[in-house]
Amino acid sequence: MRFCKIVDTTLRDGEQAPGHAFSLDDKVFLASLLDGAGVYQIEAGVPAMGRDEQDAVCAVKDACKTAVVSTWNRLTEEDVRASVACHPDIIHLCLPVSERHITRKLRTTQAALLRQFSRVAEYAAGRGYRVTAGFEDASRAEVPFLLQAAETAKRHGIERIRLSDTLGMLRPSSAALLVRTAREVGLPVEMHAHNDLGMALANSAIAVLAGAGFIDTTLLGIGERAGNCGLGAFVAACREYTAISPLQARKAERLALPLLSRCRQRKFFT
Amino acid sequence: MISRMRILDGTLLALEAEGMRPTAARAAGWRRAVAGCGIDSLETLLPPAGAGDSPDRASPVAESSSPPGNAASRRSAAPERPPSLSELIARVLPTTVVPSVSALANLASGAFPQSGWHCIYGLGDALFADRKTLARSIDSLSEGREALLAPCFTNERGCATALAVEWLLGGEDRAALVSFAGCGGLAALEEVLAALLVHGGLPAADLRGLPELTDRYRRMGGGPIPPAKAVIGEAIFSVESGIHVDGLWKSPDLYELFPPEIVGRERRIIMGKHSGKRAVLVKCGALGLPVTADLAERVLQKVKEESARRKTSLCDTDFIALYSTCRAGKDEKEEGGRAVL
Repeated sequence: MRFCKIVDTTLRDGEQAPGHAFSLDDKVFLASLLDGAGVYQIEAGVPAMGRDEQDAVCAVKDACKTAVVSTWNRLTEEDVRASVACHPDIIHLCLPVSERHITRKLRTTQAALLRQFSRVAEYAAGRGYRVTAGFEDASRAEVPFLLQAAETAKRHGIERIRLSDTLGMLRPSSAALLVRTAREVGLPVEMHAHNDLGMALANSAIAVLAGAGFIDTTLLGIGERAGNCGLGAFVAACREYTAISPLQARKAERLALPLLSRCRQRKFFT
Repeated sequence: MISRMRILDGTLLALEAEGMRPTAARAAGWRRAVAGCGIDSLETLLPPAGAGDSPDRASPVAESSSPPGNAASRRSAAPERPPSLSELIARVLPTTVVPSVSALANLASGAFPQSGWHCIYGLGDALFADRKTLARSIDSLSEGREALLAPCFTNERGCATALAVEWLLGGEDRAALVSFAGCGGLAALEEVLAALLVHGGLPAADLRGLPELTDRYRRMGGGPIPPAKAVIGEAIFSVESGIHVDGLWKSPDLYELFPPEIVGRERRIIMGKHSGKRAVLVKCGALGLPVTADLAERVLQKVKEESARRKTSLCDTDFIALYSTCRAGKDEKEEGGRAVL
């Protein structure tokens, strides 16, 4: 029987959508809703952004009764240091794995990126943290490099890899293939889907069927561009695969709606 | 090659089922606009004559070229309740309602017609079913027949678009029935077209007319389109986060599935808490504001503070005001207190 845990990223990827800027109190409020709904993990923010964000992450950590709290980091020791200041449960390291992101965005090479990955992973693990890795733009990665990156992750004690469909380009057959490919390495797999083609939910659902044990969601599906996989919609469609009841998820979304719709004012978009 | 793929647009039927029958002129305009997408095999189904409550409006269903055939049957008595979407579809092409994959098994073998077009309405849970079983059931039902399946996947499990796309790309000569913005709980036309474009199914598609279709859809009484609606939402080409703005600046295809122009839109940079220095430089350039690296850094700080204070992003007017403050502050320092507007 397939089963998945929910990793909610409303406070990180959700907030990145234009129009959203959560205060510390907002983050604590949303985190309590998510914690109450029974999500497994809350991605609380990006400590490297500064002091305010670090304070918010700490407050989120204090507010969560059952959910584990993770922080998002670029692949640098500096980012990890900012995270360590917040004492999260999990430190999440993000690295792009597609050729175009590596060469055109980071302007580095695959080999150099993997060396940096090893170094920063060692650094984070060496401080006693659980570490997860996020493979950005995994949908366009070359399979051999994807596997090489996953092997590197495994060697350094990283406990799970996130496959990000950063552009929302996957369809169920390609999403299932990607999950199966990544699982060959033997680490638990997490799916992070975007909704650019209206398929975030379907891609997440098929990922569970293909063996992904963790699914990324946001409240009401907020996120960059067309958003992420919505918590309530996912849980409703996949109730037999999660421990969260659709009712709890709906309730959290209903309570979050006033806060989340405040930011959706037309003036930014027209 | 999948050149004979067909897409049936059920938008007008879906609106009708929701009690909004557009005027003949609007329906005709819609049809023309859909035809403008440059896809020969995309066709709008028209509501059957007499289905709604405006008998004076002759529906030109008869002129519609294949596939619907002649199943449009006129009802003698007005129905007590408005017909449902599946009933409306059944009046323009033979339809079997199959709520779930398990219901497929209950259909008699050979349940499909001998030939012509045939719609299967439902199967919203097909993604969760065992694929081999599903394929076998459909094969056994269509065995020895030449009926052309045009599934109309329903969205009760949020997977209609994905199912339609997988179906269309899964074999030759396939057809699917969809509706604009997923109206009536079907696969969304614009998402299916964009997905086919991305996955190479429709090389000739021209989706620059989608904003016009969105407008027409609204005027016909279609529901509101959420700002983040995939493909047509007004917010989807706005970016704020520093890492994405920087990536887009370096190479748009790092963070965009397709250039906004492909769907008749343009990109917008929104300033806010997650902005980076690159965004300030790009925004100043776009607004014609002279800027140095040092000034950009201070503007960025202000943008972050102000957006955190307001708990939301800043519009261009706000940004220009902040820029002016920072610039004036700088000039004050450098020019001995003389404020420059």
